[in-house]
Amino acid sequence: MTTQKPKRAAKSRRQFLADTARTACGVGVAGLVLGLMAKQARSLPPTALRPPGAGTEDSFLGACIRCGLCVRDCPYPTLSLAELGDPVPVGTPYFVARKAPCEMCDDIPCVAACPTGALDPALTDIDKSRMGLAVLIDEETCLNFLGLRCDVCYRVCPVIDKAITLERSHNVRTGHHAVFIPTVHSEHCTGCGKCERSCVLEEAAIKVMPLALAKGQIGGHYRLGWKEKEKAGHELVPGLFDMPDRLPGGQP
Amino acid sequence: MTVSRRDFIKTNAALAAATAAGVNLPGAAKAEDGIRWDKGVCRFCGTGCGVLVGVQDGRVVATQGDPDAPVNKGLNCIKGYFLSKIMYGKDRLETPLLRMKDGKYAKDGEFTPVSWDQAFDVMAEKWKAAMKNKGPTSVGMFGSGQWTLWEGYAASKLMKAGFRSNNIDPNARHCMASAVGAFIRAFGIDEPMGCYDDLEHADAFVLWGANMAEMHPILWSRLTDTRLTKKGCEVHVLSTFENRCFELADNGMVFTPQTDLAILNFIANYIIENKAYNQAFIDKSVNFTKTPTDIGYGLRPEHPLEKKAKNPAKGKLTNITFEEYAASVKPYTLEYTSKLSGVPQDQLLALAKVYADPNKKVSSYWTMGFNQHTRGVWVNGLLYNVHLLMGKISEPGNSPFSLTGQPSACGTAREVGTFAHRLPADLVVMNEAHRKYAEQVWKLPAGTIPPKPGYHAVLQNRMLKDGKLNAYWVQCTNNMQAAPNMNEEGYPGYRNPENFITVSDPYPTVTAMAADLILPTAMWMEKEGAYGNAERRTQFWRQQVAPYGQAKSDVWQVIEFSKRFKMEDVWPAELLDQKPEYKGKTLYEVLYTNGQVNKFPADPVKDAAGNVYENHESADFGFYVQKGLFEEYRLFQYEGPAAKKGHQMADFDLYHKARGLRWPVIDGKETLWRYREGYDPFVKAGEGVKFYGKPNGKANVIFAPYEPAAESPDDNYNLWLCTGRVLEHWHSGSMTRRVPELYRAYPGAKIYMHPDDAEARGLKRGQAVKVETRRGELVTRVETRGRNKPPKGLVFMPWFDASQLVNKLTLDATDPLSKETDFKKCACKVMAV
Amino acid sequence: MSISSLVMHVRPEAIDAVTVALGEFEGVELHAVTEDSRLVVTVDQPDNRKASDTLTRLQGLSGVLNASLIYNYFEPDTDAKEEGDDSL
Repeated sequence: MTTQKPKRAAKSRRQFLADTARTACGVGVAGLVLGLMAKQARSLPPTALRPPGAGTEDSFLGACIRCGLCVRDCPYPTLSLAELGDPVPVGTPYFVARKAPCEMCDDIPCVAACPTGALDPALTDIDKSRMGLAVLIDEETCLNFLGLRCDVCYRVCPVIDKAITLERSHNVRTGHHAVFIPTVHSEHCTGCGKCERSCVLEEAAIKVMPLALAKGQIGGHYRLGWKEKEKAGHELVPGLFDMPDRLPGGQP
Repeated sequence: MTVSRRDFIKTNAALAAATAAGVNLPGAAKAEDGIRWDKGVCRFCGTGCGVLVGVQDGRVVATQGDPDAPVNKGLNCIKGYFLSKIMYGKDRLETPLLRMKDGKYAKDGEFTPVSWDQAFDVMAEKWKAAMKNKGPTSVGMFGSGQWTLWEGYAASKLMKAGFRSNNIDPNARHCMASAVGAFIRAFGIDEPMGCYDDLEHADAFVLWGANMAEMHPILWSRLTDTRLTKKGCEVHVLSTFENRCFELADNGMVFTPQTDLAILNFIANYIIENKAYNQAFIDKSVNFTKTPTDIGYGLRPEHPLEKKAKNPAKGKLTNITFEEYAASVKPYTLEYTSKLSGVPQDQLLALAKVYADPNKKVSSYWTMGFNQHTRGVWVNGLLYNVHLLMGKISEPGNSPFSLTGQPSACGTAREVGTFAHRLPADLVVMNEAHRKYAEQVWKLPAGTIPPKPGYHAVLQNRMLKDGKLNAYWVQCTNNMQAAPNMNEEGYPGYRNPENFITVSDPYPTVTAMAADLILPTAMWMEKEGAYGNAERRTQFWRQQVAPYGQAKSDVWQVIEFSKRFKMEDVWPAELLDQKPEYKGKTLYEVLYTNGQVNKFPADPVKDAAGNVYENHESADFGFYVQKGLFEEYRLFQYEGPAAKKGHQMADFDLYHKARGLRWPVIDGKETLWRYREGYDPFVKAGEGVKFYGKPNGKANVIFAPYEPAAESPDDNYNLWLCTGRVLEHWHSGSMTRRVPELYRAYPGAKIYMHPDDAEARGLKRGQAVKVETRRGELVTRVETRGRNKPPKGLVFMPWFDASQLVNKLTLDATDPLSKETDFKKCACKVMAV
Repeated sequence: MSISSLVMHVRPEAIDAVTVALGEFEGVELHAVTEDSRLVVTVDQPDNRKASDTLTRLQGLSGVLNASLIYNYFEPDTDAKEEGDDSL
């Protein structure tokens, strides 16, 4: 099964052209369709992810000419062109992690194929792509939070030990076992979706979201003292000192 | 939307809120009703996690970790989480299938459904013909560490006592035969002295070729917890590639394959040179010996490597002095060992210091890295040497511990004696007194059991190919996929036109599809069962549901098949003359209705709550089959030559009441640590430590040197090939690959490779590649990222995937002593397709 | 369809009044009252907006200290749930 390359990319492009034609007819027949398309264009559903190098949704939609070449060159059944009725602007490429995640090809063929730069040609290291961000969305059903040894999301991660780590703690209930908490690090997570795809639950407890949805941001008015000190390599206000404490028996 | 669906959702909503508020909803509790819960054991590895099995309308609908099971306290790994789905794969076999052409059996026919009667008619005819032509050595059986205790016992008795053939071996031969060999050589008794409680007592853990993080996930979480919560606790990991255990390791060491032999001798040398050894312990409890060297590689005798070997398969120990032993390990200096193994000196030193520190309790764990090794018995022994020099053994936290990969490798394969050389409870066929005692228990005439060990696992495939083994029965294992060198040995053996191969399995595995007759088998909760885990814990379960289709349990198949043979078909006249009362009887009557096995009536099986359970075997044969077999087996433990070796188990009924007991069970108490006064009832007050498996009460330190692997990379085949497992799938994947969620989690095998090795071959991650050895080739995809990080020069590939049979590549080199295959080392090359 | 459940923590002295008030809401059912004066309630409304309105009004009832949403099930008219593709 892994040894056969599906040949669907070329078909997808033909399919897209046919769909476009059908869409055009559709507009003639019922104005309803236009309304539908307009509605779709406004926002991407949280399950739809863009190919590597797509940048923000606005700039991507501005540059993508719906040519389908990225889909054609994707060697896996990952990328699709949105069809009428899909909750994504028609003709644009996307993938759904739970169905088929990005396999993170070293040579990023989808980016190489993009004629307009909608997929940023400056992206040459797939580890630097940010298609989204994995979020462990449901701690109540995640088996590892319950103490079981699943951690499938961790082991399938192509950036294992960086993008997802297992944070260990004591299992208070059993007293004898450790709990391994899968923890996503946005610094390294590419949003490829392997974790969501592989989650064994009926509904994945870990999901990849578009970055805009997934990432919080600390206000610019506050800095983390210990990180700033580490960054600077010294105290930010030098020369401050602490007085010794008075202790019985002259202890240091 | 129907009203009832809306109500259902509303009930769930209310139930969720009620749970959050901590109250019971009177109406909602009904949703739980109708599920009957009973205790069981996980079907997968040797950890032996206790589970509770939920049955509704004759189907296992749910499982849960038993919150009170000492091993796992309610936890499971991801395979255990999906236990309830393993029996319900879409392609369960419903009826016996026989290869037929024009309405008759034909080796080149198509699989055709037949009745059990037809199946056994054809099979019995083939077995009788084989025995008539070539005698008892032409029939054989291949079994399993996944057999329940009584399945293994009944099969072993059928072969050794009934057909008088020792050609029965379990797949555990591929798994822990080397561990067994080393236990017997060092201590005279099989199985670990410690138990899982060591995981909480140790100050330091050393993993020798055991990827516990993936293969024993629940034990790993116990080890991790100790590392987290105990001050000063250290974890040392040795492997030939970086695996998930390295993530926790304080000292992670990747060594060149086979050099573990040298590393262990270095540690012994370090202990001696620094005079760190425990003199008092050595004086009282240790005997120094050496083993013959240059012993070959268990290949076919005509192989150049075997012809070259000076002492092929020799293992007789010679006593030496402590000084001679010290001189033997002296060449293994830090510099030499570091250079040979590729492990930096400071890391080797840190490892040696942990063992040499008298104040640190060390537990060592190993699995297939040690056992699947052409010097497996040696390397197991070298580790015991280190523990024995320090006296770090047989007490809480100080434990050399052989982990097992199958749920009953200990319980069935080892304890009831399903190996080609073994009889129940550590007795062996080569020993006359042992044979005699077995014949006495089994009520057989003297001389029934043949004294020569039968064909072991790898030899069975060779003998099938050579046409010496002609009627062959495989139960409860997928050996075509699991055994080495499938192209040259396994497949030609099964398809040899002279042979008739029967495979019993719930699913159409690679092995089943290579057979001539497939028998559909009841699995796991479809039968009453018992497993013995790695820490000597025996655990029972009742039959929870009816078998699928016409499937029958392995024990039913064995006993039913025995009805087809008259004693005159299988025993020579001179043997029968000794027991004239057996004349005209069937094997069934002599072996299974002998007054012992059929001693207990087929009364309904009930639990403490009064629930009644089916037992199809008892219903069919008219006596309590499982109880009769188990109680007869117990006769081996309490009397005869085995009685002093401490194998005693509790009676049958107690195991159905208890969660699981670690043998020896004496005076109603389990034994946690063996050989030490206070813990082990066989060591008397004042004796301290006594290795009572040996006549002088002393354990053997056995010197063995470093010797190279059977096949190492060269200019052409320039990579080491190592095979193994992944957490998501168990062994050949015949169960886990049928669970959709596990399939999705890890759909296909791939080959893990160092990125530089890939680049040097012009390979990109994810690319389809050809992997080739001298024996075969396959196509897979290359993986340069992820969970396993091989060093340059080594590739790793899991073997669970039936669509990528990695054992077409492996070499059938074995440890000449244990006959266990080395699946971890052969030479391959990898290229673009 | 929108079905939610919630646990409402109520002042002990206000339990009766709140119970009566709940009865006046359409689609609201009381399932249990705990000893420490918490109520287990389900809300069944045609859509999430109406459900949300109801939840807000429940929260605002006199005597209610806190209402926590425990469970929410929403099903649109068209069933557009993506199915996993196992053909990989």
